[in-house]
Formats: sequence, structure tokens, C-alpha cells
Amino acid sequence: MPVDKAMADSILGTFRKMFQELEDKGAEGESFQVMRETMDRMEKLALETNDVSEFTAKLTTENLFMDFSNAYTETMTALVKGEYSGDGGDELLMEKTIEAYEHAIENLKGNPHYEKLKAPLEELIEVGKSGVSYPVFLRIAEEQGLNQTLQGDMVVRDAILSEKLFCEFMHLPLEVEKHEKILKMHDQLASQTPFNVVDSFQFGLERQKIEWKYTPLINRWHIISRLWEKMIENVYDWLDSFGSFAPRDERWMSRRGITYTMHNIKRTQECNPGILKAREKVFMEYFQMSWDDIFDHETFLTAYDAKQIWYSDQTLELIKKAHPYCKPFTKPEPDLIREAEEIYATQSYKRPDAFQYSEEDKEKFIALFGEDKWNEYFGRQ
Amino acid sequence: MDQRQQEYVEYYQSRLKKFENNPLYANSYQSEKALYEAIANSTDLEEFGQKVESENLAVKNAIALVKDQETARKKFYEELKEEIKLHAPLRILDAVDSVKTDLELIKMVNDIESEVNIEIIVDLFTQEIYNDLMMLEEIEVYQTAEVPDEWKKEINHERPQEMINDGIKDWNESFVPNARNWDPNWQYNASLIWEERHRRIIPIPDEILKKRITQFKTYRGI
Repeated sequence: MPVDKAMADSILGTFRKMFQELEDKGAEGESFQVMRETMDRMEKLALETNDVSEFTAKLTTENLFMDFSNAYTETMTALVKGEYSGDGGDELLMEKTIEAYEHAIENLKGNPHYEKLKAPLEELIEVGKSGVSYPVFLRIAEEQGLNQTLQGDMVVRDAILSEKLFCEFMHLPLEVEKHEKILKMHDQLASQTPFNVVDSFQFGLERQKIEWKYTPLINRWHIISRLWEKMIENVYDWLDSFGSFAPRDERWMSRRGITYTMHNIKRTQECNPGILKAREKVFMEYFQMSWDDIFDHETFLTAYDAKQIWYSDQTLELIKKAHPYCKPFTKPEPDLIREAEEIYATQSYKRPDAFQYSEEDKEKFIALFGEDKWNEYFGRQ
Repeated sequence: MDQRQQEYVEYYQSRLKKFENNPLYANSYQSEKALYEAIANSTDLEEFGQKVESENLAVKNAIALVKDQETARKKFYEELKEEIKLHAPLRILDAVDSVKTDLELIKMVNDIESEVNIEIIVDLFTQEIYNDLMMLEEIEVYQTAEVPDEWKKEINHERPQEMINDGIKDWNESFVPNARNWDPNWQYNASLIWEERHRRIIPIPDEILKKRITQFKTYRGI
């Protein structure tokens, strides 16, 4: 079965466009023939491979992207040399350069950063049309940093800001910190240049280094969070399984009848303490942390402040009280069971604003994706 | 020197200034200087054109930029102990002086980048153990949980075995075929986990990781 057409189109779209443009210009010769053969092979693979991962693996391992790009460069170079081979000299070079920038603006249409990306091109066109000679035009482009601006630095900075804002919205403090450092590095490097435009190569390396430093820290954060989530859930389910409501609760109810439901309840009552103990061992072995460390830990406090903790405060306190009893082959105190039953009866087990977004979150989301998207996803909140 | 040539001299001077006092671009500074001196010392633009052609100055300039950037990348990946990513700058630096044209240079760089990208993708399959950590924890938790005798079969044996069976099935039916799309002879090499680039992303003590590796081999049927 061929690769999904939409996926194949999105992967091959740029290559098809590049090929078509050169064909329209009347390109020919050996390198253009290589482009044609490579394009045909890519189209064939889209039909022959079974899924996107196999398709992209084949495109890469058969070196088709690179063969196409190399042949494209060669064909373009030949075309440009042909166009520039006349006697027009600098005037023709200027004309062709302006033409290329105008063409680039056309191609940018539809790009979400169109306005920002076209600005330096327009500036260059303006300089080119101002009556200066070609070398003066080149010098101005160099001295005013316009060539470097063409690399799209302002879009890069905007993208980092958006990523940071998204991490703030998701309440991921380490990711926010990472993006702040990337931004600081960007601005520091930019401030060292005459036109406040970073060297994209140098910035790329510095950015990679910051990301490299944060990866283990972020992984640690995620593992700690997922371990305590399961530990808290083990105690919560264990205590509730002793409540009179347990046979009616979906955590234990079986479609096969009450016998199976009671079997499920018994499993939680008798096995959760042992499972919790084994989880606590993992927690200790990994991070030298115990149950008591959870609730003051930055991972928990962040999740709590972000309303990402499902349990109500009352339930959390009850879970903390129940924990000392949740040991293999033991049962909770009757008072704790009674309290769990009261919470269940009043449906106050869940934090009222759990997983609700604050006004601040809403503003961040709208700044990133717009009000329509907010209404589409969260309109009923 | 006519006005047009003087304008070109100023243009090449502005290019030279861009790399001035920047240790990252030491080679580029020298090659730009060669271009600047060639035009400044030529009697006319025609002579400059001949110098550029005969001394291959434009290509040398492109080579210098590649050398500068790849030298920086080499140092960067050495510091980070990114052994596989390091292959690209090493190979490019090894080949860069042998190229004669700009097209050859572009092709050489593209081909090496493409080749190393595949090596990086294949190397990253090593990190599957990190993605599997949660399952490995679950298997250990269920295998070792202290439970009454009547539950031992289900909790300590059947449930973890189901997880292991699923893990082996997924490995054979999905993971390995995907990895072999990238390298037909691919085999999981657990010893790579201890190499800095992989080890550093798994934030647990060595002793525990050793245990997880043994578990991982069982979980994936390796």
C-alpha cells in the first residue's frame, strides 16, 4: 500500500516545485537529467513503500535528497552562468539580482512570517534601484548587515520567544529556563555585531550546547513526576477500595458481574501496598527520594500551582494520612475509610479547578495561536 | 584605478572587516584578505578577474569558510563528547583541501552530512532503553511487589510476562524493521548505552542502569 498521499505530498512538494521551476526555465543537460531521475525515483518510492517511516528512510539512505539538491545546485549554476555570460556586466548583474529578490518575495507569499522576511528583501531592492552601482550595492548590503538579515534571524528570535511562551503555557519551568538562556545567548551574540544580527552558525552551536545541557535535567524532571503520580494513585485507590462505594466505582466495576468486581477490589486492597513499596524502592534507587520528599519537591509544587494535580486538597491530605498504613498485608484505619466515604459522597475528591487554564494561561495561548483556536479547544470552559 | 574598481575595493574591504578579530573565522579572514589584496593591487578589473581565476581565489574563499565552521564544529562536538556527530566535521576537514571547484565543495559537504545523518539516526536507536524505562520500572514493580500468595501468580508473574510479550512483539514487528530501513544489518548494541552521549540522558545511578539493561534485553528479547 502506498504512503498516505498527503504525507507524500508534504515531503515531496518542495522537490516537485524546484523541479518544475527549472523545467519551466528550459533547463537541460546531465545534472537536470539527474534531477529528473531522482524525482522519478522519489515518486516511485512514495507508491512502493508501506509507511512514512519506511519512505523517509529510503529517501535518506538512497541519498535521494542530497542527489537531488546537488543536481539542482549544478543545474542552477549552469543556468545562472548562461544568463550572466553576456556583455551586460555589472548592470546585468544588478538587474538579475533585483529580479531574484523580487522572485524570492513572490515565493514567500503564504509564509506565516511573510512580512518580516520580505522586509530585508525590499530594502535590498530599494538600494538596488536607487541608482548606485553594483559594487556599491554589494558593499551597502554587507555593511548594513542586510545579507545576514536575509538568513531570517528576526524570525528565529520570534520562534524562540514563541517556544518559550508555549513552555510557560504548559508550565514547564526547565524548558522555560532553557529558552530564556537561548534567548539571552542570541541577544548577547547579536549585540556583539555591528547590525545586531547574529551569526546563525555561531548561534546554532551555542543553542545546541544549551539544549544539550538541559536534556538530562528535563528527563530527570519527567521521571520524578511520573513516579510520584503513580505512587499517589496507588495510595488513593487503595484507601478508596475499602469504601462502601467501591463496588459502584468504575475503577473496580466489572461487566461480568459483582463477583469479578469484588475480586478487583480485593486485588487493590491486598496488592497495592506491595506495589507501592516496590515503586518507593525505584524512587529511592533512582533519586534517593522517598514519599515524604514528594510534596515539597519542585516537580509537585509546579504541577500543583499549574492546577495539574487532579486530587482536591482534602483528598491529598487524606492520601498523606493513609500512606503510613499502606504497607503490605495491612489495612487502613476505619477513620480514614470513613473520611474517604464522606469525600466520595460529596464528590469532593477532585480539585474543582483541576486542569483548568488561568486567565494568564489563556492570554499566553491566544498570543500563540489566536482567539479562534482558544474558542475551538476550550470554548466551553 | 578607475571609480568602479575603487568601489569594488571598498566592497571587498567591507567583506574583510566582517571577519576581523573573530577567532572563529581565521581562515576566512585570510582568504578574504587575499581577495582584497588581489583587487587593491590590480591595475584594472580585468587583471583582478584573471587573478581570481588563476589563483582560484573564490573557491579558496569558500573552502576557508567551510574550514572555519567545521573546525568550530569539531571542537564543539569533542567538548560535548558527541562521537557520532563529530564524524561530519572530521570527514569534511579531511576532504576539504582536495576539492577544486565550488560545486565539488557543495557536493562533498552535502554527501558527508547525509552519510553522517544516517549514522546519527542509527546511533539514536540506542536510546530506546530510555524510552522503555517506564515499562522496565513497571515490570520490576510487579515482579517484586510483596503480595499475598493467592495473587503472586497474577501480579508477580502473569502481568509482567504480558508486558514482556508485548515488548518482544513490538520490537520484532515494528522497532527492528524500522531500524533496518536505515541500516539493513542493524543489531542493538547495549554497550553503546555507556557512551557519554547516551549515558548522560539517563539520569539514574550506574548500578541501577546495569539492572535496567539486563531487564531491557529480556523485555525486548535481545
